[in-house]
Amino acid sequence: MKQKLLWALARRHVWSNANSTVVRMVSILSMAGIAIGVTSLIILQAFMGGFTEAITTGLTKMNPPLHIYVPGGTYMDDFDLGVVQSIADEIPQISVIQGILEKPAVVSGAPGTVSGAMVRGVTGTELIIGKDIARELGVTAGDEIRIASTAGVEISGMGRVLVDTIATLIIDSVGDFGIEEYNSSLIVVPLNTARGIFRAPDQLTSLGGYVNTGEDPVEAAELLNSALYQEYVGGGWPVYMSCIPYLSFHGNLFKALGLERIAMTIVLALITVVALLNLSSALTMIAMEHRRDIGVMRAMGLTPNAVFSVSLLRGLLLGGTGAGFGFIFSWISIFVVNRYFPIKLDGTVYWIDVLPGVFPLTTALIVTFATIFVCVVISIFPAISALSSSPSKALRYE
Amino acid sequence: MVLSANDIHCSYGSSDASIKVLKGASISIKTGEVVAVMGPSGSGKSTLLHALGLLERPCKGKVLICGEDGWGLSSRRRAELRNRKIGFVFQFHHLLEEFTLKENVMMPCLIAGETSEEATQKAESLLERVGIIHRSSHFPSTVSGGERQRAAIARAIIMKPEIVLADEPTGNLDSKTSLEVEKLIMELAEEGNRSFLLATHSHDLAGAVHRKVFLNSGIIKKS
Ligand SMILES: Nc1ncnc2c1ncn2[C@@H]1O[C@H](COP(=O)(O)OP(=O)(O)O)[C@@H](O)[C@H]1O
Ligand SMILES: [Mg+2]
Repeated sequence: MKQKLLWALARRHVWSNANSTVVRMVSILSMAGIAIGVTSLIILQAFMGGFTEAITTGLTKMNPPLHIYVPGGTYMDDFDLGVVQSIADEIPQISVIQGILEKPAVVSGAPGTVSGAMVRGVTGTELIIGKDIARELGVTAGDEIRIASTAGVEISGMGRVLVDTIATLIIDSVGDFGIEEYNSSLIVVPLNTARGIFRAPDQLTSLGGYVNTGEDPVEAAELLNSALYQEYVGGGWPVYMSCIPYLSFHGNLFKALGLERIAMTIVLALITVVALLNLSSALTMIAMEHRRDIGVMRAMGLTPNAVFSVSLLRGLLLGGTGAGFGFIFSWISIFVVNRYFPIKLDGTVYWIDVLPGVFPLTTALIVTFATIFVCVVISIFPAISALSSSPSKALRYE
Repeated sequence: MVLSANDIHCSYGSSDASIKVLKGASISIKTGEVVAVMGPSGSGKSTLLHALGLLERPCKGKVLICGEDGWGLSSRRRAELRNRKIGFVFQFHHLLEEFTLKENVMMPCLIAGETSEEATQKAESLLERVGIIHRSSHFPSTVSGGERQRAAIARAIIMKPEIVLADEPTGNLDSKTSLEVEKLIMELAEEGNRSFLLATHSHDLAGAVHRKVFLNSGIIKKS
């Protein structure tokens, strides 16, 4: 019951039609400040996180998480695949090792079209062509394309181009590979088809490894890499193959994104700090406006503890409402932007052509509750000064 | 004795430049007694009432409320004593602007931890008694000065306190309203066998009381 009274007091002090316009103004502005701070922090995290996530999914969708290669770019073959497979069998985190043959080629589709492409041969796939290159070539599933290996291109003294292999193939499907670069250049074909095109019967350009669900690719990559190192060094040979997690190819990109995110978070956190300072002056002002009321309540028997609580509750109410609005508003903004005003990007620069906002629930909750917590902490100072002021003085004058 | 205070000293300001307002005031009030403290403006009436009402600690002196040493208690117990035994009426109505008249009157009950049903019921019957039941859901800023002071009086007596301290309760009202409010105070004192200590410089209000004392040069003199 008493708790209810304290809430009622705090609520009417910060928000009541009977309040002076100044108090209402100050309350609205301080709540708006907090709401803006929280919203901008959450939205930033949503889009920075969305970008990183889209790129990561794009990259991991098309590439096995473990990349095994020969430093220096020498080709590998099926024997190397067998070696790695037998080593990987000993590592429980790794499920499958797969051979990859990937080389550039020239492709043509509908009459008169021609384009450069990356042809990637892997086992157990059908022929999938990236959606953008498919559009460029004017082809769709079921159509024919012709792939010419540039390995066979030679410029003779007469300036003529000799192309020694031209394979005609049927497209099984058109795929969205997630990343612009893949969509506009990648054609995935069965490994044997690729070997035929490139006249490389047992060649591979790299190996890809998959991890069991829930396993950390970075850890698995380290295990495999050190196992490979042991194998070669132990046998007295120089190190031949290495393994790295695929995403570390783009380590610098992710580092840069992370740094940018930290920098922007700091800037927006400063906005929130300004909003909190504003709240603290609002609370001081509301406390001054209600000094007499508190004096009256003291005269009627409100304890100093209760006076303290009322002051904290004012901060909690303003901060909580502001932060709550910020939370809801950021969710709505992200939803509306994704749904109705998608942010278009230049795919050739940014890899993806729509910037997706992913509502960061955990981060949003942390930001919201941390803000509310700081609001309460900030209201401790006006609360202490409310305690120290004498009710008698507050009651003397109108 | 409902209230007795002995040798109260109060002063304002720092020790070297202090103004001594009360220099040994003593007063005692019996149950049901209505006493007026008279004195010119600035003589220290408010200071005395605040000391007696446990709002401002006197430099020296004891205040006994129903035999309990008010200033010797913990602040928590003192708050409880103010809530249950003492009612206040101020020169300015000092109603809470954000609450309706009824909510204002209920406030001491809510502070005491009563349910809002109980408090509502008590408040309504008191508003009825002081004649402003038709204004119960109005906010203080929308009613007249007399109505506000009636609400303030209802608020002061809702906990059935042993003593009501009223600091110039009619000081801010026109003479006709003053008379009505004075009459109400006397009636309420009679009905509840309740003690009142009125600070006033108006001889009209003082006319009807049981006993008058004068505050002069910081001490209380009998009439
Ligand atoms: N907070 C204060 N600081 C300094 N002097 C004060 C303060 N409050 C009251 N006084 C002085 O104390 C004296 C008594 O004031 P008060 O008790 O209000 O008298 P009354 O109620 O009889 O008019 C006055 O001279 C006043 O100026
Ligand atoms: Mg006075």
